[in-house]
Amino acid sequence: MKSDNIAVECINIHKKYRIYRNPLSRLKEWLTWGKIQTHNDFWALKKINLKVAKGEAVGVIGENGSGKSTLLKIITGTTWPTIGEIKANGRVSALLELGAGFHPDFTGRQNIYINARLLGLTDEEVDDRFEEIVRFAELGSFIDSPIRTYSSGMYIRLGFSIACHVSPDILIVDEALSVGDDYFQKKSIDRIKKFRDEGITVLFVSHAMPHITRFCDRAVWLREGVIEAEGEAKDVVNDYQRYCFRHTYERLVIAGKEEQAEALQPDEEPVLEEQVWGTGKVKFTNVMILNGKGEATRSLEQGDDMTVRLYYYAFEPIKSPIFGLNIHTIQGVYIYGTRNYNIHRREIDQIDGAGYVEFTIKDMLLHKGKYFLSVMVFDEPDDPYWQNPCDWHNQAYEFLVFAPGEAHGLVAFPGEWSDKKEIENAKDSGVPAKLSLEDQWLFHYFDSGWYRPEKDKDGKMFCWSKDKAGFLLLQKKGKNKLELEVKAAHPDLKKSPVDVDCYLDDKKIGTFSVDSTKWQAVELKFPKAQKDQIRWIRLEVNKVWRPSDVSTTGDKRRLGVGLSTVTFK
Amino acid sequence: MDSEYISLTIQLEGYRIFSLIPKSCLVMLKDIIEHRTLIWAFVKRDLKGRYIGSTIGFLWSVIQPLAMILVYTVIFSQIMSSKLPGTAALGKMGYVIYLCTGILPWIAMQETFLRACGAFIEHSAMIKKVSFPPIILISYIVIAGFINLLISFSVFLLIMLIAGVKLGAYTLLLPVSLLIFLFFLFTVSFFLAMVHVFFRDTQQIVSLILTVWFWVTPIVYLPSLIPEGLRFVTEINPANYLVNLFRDPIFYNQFYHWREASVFLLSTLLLFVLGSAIFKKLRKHIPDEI
Repeated sequence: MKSDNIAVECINIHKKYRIYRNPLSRLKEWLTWGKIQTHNDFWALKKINLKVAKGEAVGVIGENGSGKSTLLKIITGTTWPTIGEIKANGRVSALLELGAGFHPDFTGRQNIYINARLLGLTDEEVDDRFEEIVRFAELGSFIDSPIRTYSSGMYIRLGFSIACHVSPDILIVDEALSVGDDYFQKKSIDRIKKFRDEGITVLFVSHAMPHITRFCDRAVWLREGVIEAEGEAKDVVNDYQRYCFRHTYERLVIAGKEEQAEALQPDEEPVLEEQVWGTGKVKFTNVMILNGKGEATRSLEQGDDMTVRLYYYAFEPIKSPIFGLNIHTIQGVYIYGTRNYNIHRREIDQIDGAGYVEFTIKDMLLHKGKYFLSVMVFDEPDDPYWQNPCDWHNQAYEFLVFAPGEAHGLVAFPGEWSDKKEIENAKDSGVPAKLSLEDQWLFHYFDSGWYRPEKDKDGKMFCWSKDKAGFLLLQKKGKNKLELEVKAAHPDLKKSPVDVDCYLDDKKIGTFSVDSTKWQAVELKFPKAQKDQIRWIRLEVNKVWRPSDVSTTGDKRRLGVGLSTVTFK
Repeated sequence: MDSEYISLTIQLEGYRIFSLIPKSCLVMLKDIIEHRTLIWAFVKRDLKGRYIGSTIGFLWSVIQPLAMILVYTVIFSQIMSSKLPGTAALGKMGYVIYLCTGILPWIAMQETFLRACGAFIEHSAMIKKVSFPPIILISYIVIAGFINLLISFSVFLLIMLIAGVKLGAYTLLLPVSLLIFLFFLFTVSFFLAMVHVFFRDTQQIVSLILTVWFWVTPIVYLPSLIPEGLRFVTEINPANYLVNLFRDPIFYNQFYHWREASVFLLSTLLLFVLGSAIFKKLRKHIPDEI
């Protein structure tokens, strides 16, 4: 990195805080000219060496109290390192505490002027940007009301807006964004993204790991004031999450929440009598679970190899022994089983006396959580021998799986989503050229303008529309007549028919009238399709009615026309 | 940052007198001059903020001293003038002038010092989150207090004018007195603010000391009231020098006592130099302590 390319450089930064037991002890120290030392030193940061290139987005992660905020304060220039040097190249703007220095009795306008000046803008600059600040904060007429009348959302928006408009070269974002509603969060994230895309250096502190990975090129993990890891955001976040998961247990124990911690701790209690049965020709003398490095453990990493080692003692020679193991979840769901007979077949030579066999699961893809391992050995395959194992330890061995991120379901298959793509062949979309409620359940081609399908007196399937209703239909090339089988049931039907306008892409393509409570077929001319196309055809009914208005059914639906079939011809 | 300050000193090195002033003073002055518009904005906010929401707003800052001075005038010139020994010689309005030249600066000083003590603590959120020279906060508090003093002095002079009191020519020295007073206010204020950060009892102690000192100093009573044996207290009381800064030109209609004025000015200057040097050292610890 060339020096003129560096936005922020921390050179061997240490930060010490002095902790005094009480105010008197400080006085004692002062009065004795430091001869009596009463304070304890607390090193918030140690040996921080960090270079941030111009235009880089760097995430700073770590637990509470790991020194993140102190580091950002040093970079912002609100506090100084005890040892070491900080070089910041350009104007630093910090979204640390939005609205610091606002006076509640003053209007938004007055506060903008003071706050922006405080952040380093000149009067002319504030004048130039004033309108923009107000617009971004979306305060409207509130700009001339005292800030104490603002909602907390408006307050934050104004603070954020000012901080954004000081045109920083280096932007420091602390947890500021975790406040405010979803809309504001999205808006502010978008704004920060824009900053990043404009080539402004962004330092980002968040406990929201997805934000870090989405946002930052690089991440720095601080742990107890020291840089624990530094590198590509994805990798560092991964390591950090792994660490967090492992240490949840310790922290729970320290906090006295043993019960919760218990759930995270594998139980290595001896196998109980009721968990064991078998003929006793062979007995397991020890069962070990090994990780990919070959270390015996009950805590495994997702994606690592998992080896189960079965130490046995055969009291009599067994010609072709069959070993097996099962894995259950903590809820007792049987999720995996294997035997060297019908699954992962392998002939094992005759066993006699002591020995061990191993089974290795490659890239174990269980989710994080607690599991039970069962092990078994048979002397003969197939029934009835399956029922008569030599030895079977049922769900006797607990183990844990650690994994970063969220877990859904049982298995963590490696996988990947594609981006969205255009449909090349309209037929592949599954939208049919004919919708007939008679034939099938086609409700997923109907939009929300319909009531659920029902049967009429003759047993014909159909559904009622509301005043506006639409459906998807495949228009094949050359078919440009739309045929609908419809009926109406409006009480005024005899006086005037129900008129239905038919729209395609906001363009009216025709009108038809329904004047009977019996099924009738209507036809509409439809614009030609150059190729097969998915059409969203919408109907607008000129009048609707409620059955509850004319009878005592209690049916309060607002009904338009009934539809049973629609097709392109 | 540091290099900027160095360049400033070099620039000023041609003038010999400036090389006598330590860099820390220059840094402080430079910070103030650089941020003068911000300070002024703070001052305006402070003055307006005091009466915001009230119907007549800023007028209150005129009405308050007006009422106070009027009460003194009425009570002391009409009712009590004969009761206070020694005041009869001062004429009908004499005692009022004597009292106001002492009490107006004292009130301004007391108010400013107490506010200054809390300045850094009160604005801790700002100091911790925004990078700016905290001396700005002291500056605006001092200037706001000073402006209030200007207002009350104007009101006082106006009343004297209306009452037909003839003030001597030395009254023209008032601006000089005020400037020296401003410098004194600033120096002590930032000293107190700094100490209060590390020793939070400062504000209480200052409040107590000022209350006692007020009665030790001849402000309400005349120096002639003090028994002979205790006169030396007045002689060495620096507050007396401060009060005389206003009394000499306005009440006694004479030039400052050379010795008193120069001792006062020099010790303030010394405190400023010392204070700014300490401030430079402690500045880095302030955000960590509030």
